[in-house]
Amino acid sequence: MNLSVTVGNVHLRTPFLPASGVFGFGDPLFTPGFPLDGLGGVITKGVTLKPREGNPPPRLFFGENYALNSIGLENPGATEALELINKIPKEYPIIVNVSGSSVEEIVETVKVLKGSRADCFEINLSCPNVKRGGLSLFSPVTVGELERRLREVTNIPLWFKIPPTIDPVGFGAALERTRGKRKITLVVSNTLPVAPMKGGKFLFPNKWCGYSGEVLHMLNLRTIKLLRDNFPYVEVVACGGIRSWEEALNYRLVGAKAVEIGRGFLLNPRIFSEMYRKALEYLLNSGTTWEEVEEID
Amino acid sequence: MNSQNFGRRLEQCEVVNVRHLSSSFFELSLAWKGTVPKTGQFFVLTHTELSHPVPLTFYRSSDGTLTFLVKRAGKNTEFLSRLPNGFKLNVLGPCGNGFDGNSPILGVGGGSGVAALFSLPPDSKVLLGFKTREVELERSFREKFNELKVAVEEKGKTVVDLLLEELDLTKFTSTLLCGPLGMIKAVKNSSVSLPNPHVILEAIMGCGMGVCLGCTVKTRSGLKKVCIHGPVFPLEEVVL
Repeated sequence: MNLSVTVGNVHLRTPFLPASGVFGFGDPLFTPGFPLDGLGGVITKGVTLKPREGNPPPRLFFGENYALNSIGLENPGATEALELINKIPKEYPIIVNVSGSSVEEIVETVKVLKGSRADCFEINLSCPNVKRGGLSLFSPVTVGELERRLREVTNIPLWFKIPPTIDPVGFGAALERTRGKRKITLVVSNTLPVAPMKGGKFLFPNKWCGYSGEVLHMLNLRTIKLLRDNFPYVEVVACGGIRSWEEALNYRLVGAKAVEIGRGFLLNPRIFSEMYRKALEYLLNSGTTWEEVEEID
Repeated sequence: MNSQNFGRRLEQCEVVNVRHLSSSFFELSLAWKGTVPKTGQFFVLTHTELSHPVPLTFYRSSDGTLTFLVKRAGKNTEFLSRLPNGFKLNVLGPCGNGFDGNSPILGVGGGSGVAALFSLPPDSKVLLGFKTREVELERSFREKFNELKVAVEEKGKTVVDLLLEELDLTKFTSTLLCGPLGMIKAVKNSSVSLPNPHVILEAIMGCGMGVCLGCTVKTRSGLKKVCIHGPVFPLEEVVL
């Protein structure tokens, strides 16, 4: 059985993708021993126009069922990223995650990166731990504006990665007022913005950080269900709290066409291979395909 | 990124032995066919039952076996301490740069940091510090190193005290420090002038290959990643 799937005009080998930030620029593909038979494509580290140093340490914390990060978009900038993107083995579709402090910076970054082998740009409007841009840039109007501006410079497919902190119906309605009912691909979602404290102090020097884990999974199941029920032209890629095939299937059942795995890959570097086998087994036993899995009411 | 490799690979390794040394420490031995690591390099262990990736410093190896010295510190190490032989873990490594100091070497270690010192050449002098007496561990180190001193906090002495007692540091060519942050800070802030001192830094580890950028530390030449720029850093470079 073939598990390939097309999402927002991007043809993926399987519906299982690494979330931006856990796969570098395809680095595990260059490290012997990674079983990558279930890998649907590569999503790169977030790229900005100029290099960024990122946030001061500490940047990472693992809890029992969650992780917190405050990386702060450290990246080598668009020019060097372009070289790294072009080294990714050709058999994998490449989704390049793009961030910026402003609409203008994102447009300029895409102008540089459209010269790479990118098959898609995932526009990150939801980084919870940078002082400018990221989450603060997010609004239905910005999504519409960016879509229009980016379409003037490239035909490469676009996905928009949104924060989990939205009112799904209100957001969908506002987006519809901005850009009508044309098909759009949303990645739901980035990490949950939080400000954990310990001993009377913020855990991270930057105060804000992103939560990924079990709670995000439950939150996003609701968000995706409401988006799909009310705005069926919205295609969804799910991200958040996937540690096994079960969570991936949950996301499919509420209407996601593909899934992104972040913390789950760090905790289990074999997750793509294992998920692929479990998916094949489930779909064969159910006599269905990934695309034909019926969404639940 | 597309980062330096250090001979690192991902393997599924079988547990061949768990040896309990004390209420604080145990040895975890895995079957390993990969590169023999350098002093200071580390491995990242993952399993679906572990709540985070577990980085462990190289302790010793022999005939296709890789042994780690593990300090009990919660649910994850408790899980590792109870593994039966034949149990499979994901093992990524060897990670990081390793220590290239020339002999004779002075090794200074505290707590779980002593693990890295065991792979130093036998002509090294090793100073160890523990909270309580570690009979089995001390025996292992004494069998390998002629020159060994051990401090036990419970008895009012730390490894930093041992270091301050060293009369002639000029006979060593290089120094390797590994231990809790408090120990490293105390050494750095002391008046002791160490020959070519290097330190092994610890950090919460995500990927072990320079990808997730989580294990960042401050150095005098900017932010660095423990997993690819370290874990061994010149002592004067690190900002503690």
